[in-house]
Amino acid sequence: MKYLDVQSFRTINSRLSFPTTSGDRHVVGRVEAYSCKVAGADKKLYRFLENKYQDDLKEAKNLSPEQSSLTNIVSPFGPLTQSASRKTLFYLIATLNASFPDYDFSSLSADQFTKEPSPSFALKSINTTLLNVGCPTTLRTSRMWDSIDSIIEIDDCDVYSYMPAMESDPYEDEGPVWSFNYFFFNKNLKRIVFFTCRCVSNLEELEETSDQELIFGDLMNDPVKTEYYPTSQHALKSMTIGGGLKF
Amino acid sequence: MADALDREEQAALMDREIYELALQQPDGLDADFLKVALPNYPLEVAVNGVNRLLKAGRLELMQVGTRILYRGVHAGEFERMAGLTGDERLVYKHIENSGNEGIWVRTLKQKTNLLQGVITRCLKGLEQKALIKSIKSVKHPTRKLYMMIDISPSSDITGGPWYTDQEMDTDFIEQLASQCYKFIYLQSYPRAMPRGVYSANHMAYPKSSVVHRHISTNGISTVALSVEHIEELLTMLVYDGKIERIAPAFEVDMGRGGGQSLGTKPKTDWMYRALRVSNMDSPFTDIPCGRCPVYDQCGDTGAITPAKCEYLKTWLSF
Repeated sequence: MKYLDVQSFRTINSRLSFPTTSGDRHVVGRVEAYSCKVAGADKKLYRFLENKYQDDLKEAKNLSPEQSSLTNIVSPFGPLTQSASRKTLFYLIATLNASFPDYDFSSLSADQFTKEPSPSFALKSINTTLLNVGCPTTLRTSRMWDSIDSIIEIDDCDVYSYMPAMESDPYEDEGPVWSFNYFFFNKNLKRIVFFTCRCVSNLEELEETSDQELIFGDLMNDPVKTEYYPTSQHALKSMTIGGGLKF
Repeated sequence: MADALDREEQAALMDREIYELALQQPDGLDADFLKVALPNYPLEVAVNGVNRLLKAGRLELMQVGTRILYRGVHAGEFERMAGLTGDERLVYKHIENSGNEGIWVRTLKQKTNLLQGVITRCLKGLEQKALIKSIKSVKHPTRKLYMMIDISPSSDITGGPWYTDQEMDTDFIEQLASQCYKFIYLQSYPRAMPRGVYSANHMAYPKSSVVHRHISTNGISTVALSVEHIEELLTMLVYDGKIERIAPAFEVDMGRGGGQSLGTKPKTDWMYRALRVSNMDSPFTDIPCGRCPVYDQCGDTGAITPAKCEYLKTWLSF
């Protein structure tokens, strides 16, 4: 996937980083445009995915009809038996790989994506989320959707969303309060606009203290000395406060 | 003129000496060591030699705490590193230091402070030279990890015997767990009496080591399993409610022992016993009347009648 450097996106991205109205969290997001031009590494990914699909198909043939349920055929991109649907999955995975260079999403399956009912659905969802959390005026007046529309023609797009399992979440090490990942895919223009955003708590220090440290605090590493007494009289004798008890 | 050549030859000789000394000290040597080992050369001359060797790649700088050490680079290693650029060398060193755990690209970026593009290029170069390989961890299946090409990833990363190709082998786990359960069941109840149980101080329930021996000798698993792996299976069975742990007898120590720090816990040698789930529900125990504390006073009239019964009300509101 070829990254397209769009000037208006740069402005949007600088404004997509803001503190929430509650003050204890901040939102970080970015919008990126990609063209579906397949580079060398992408070709390798495509071949890898195709091989994986063929292997899965072979395995499914060996299982009984009940075991190989239709879940591995139907996908949010259409039936996986059609190569066009597999191509869409490939584009989305390649976009994720390009946007998160520390990660490799080639092991993802189609069921971790969902298709949004319509582009306006996704738009409304994103707007609501951002507005609820205190989207600053600079972002609201930036005509973000107009810029995106000029690149991708939102109305002609298929919109997909990536809902990762906890281990496959590119934001797993930050433990965000929420995050979303939307792909605006225009088949005719062969372009994808990737809109990703997360809300992270500012209270980082708390996560690093273990439960034991929270409860015992400074007493953690000091040995608690217990002393044993053979009889309770002995105990009473040593518990003298002030005058003490005379035995 | 001859003087300068002489000095060069001398310097080369001294460098050679330093290099040989360094090779003999696998943990590296420091400036004080050089002072003692080369009394004929003044320290600054020796340090110049060290710097030359460092630049040539024959010596390597290491930092242990606050001490600085110089390690000799063996010929084979030198060959490998010779073809690498400075950045590649840096990346390679970090990957080497990660041992069999591998290192994440992001950690690499943080430690080397190199830019994304530089790191990607270095990694590609090192991969092409067959010095490193990329691996996947079962705990973070999307993270890009790299490690030395000739080392096997640790069981933390591969998931050990429970994972095959990054996927949890549930069939294998199920099979093994049921084998353990059957073995424990046979030793949990007396064979002579079908519905009997052993007495409270019966101590011959199997321990994890016994179960481990049984599984290993039976050859049920193609992969060698350790006692810890078996204990993981047994813990799973305990949480499934199929077996229970019984503490072995221990001596009560009434002496004036010292305290135990909060962290340490001696490893208990638990015994395992299969649980028999009783399915004997009878109507007499189901209806609240069977367990009612005021059953004797209950009648058709009066304060205590079924019509006003609280227990029946709760039971009937399912």
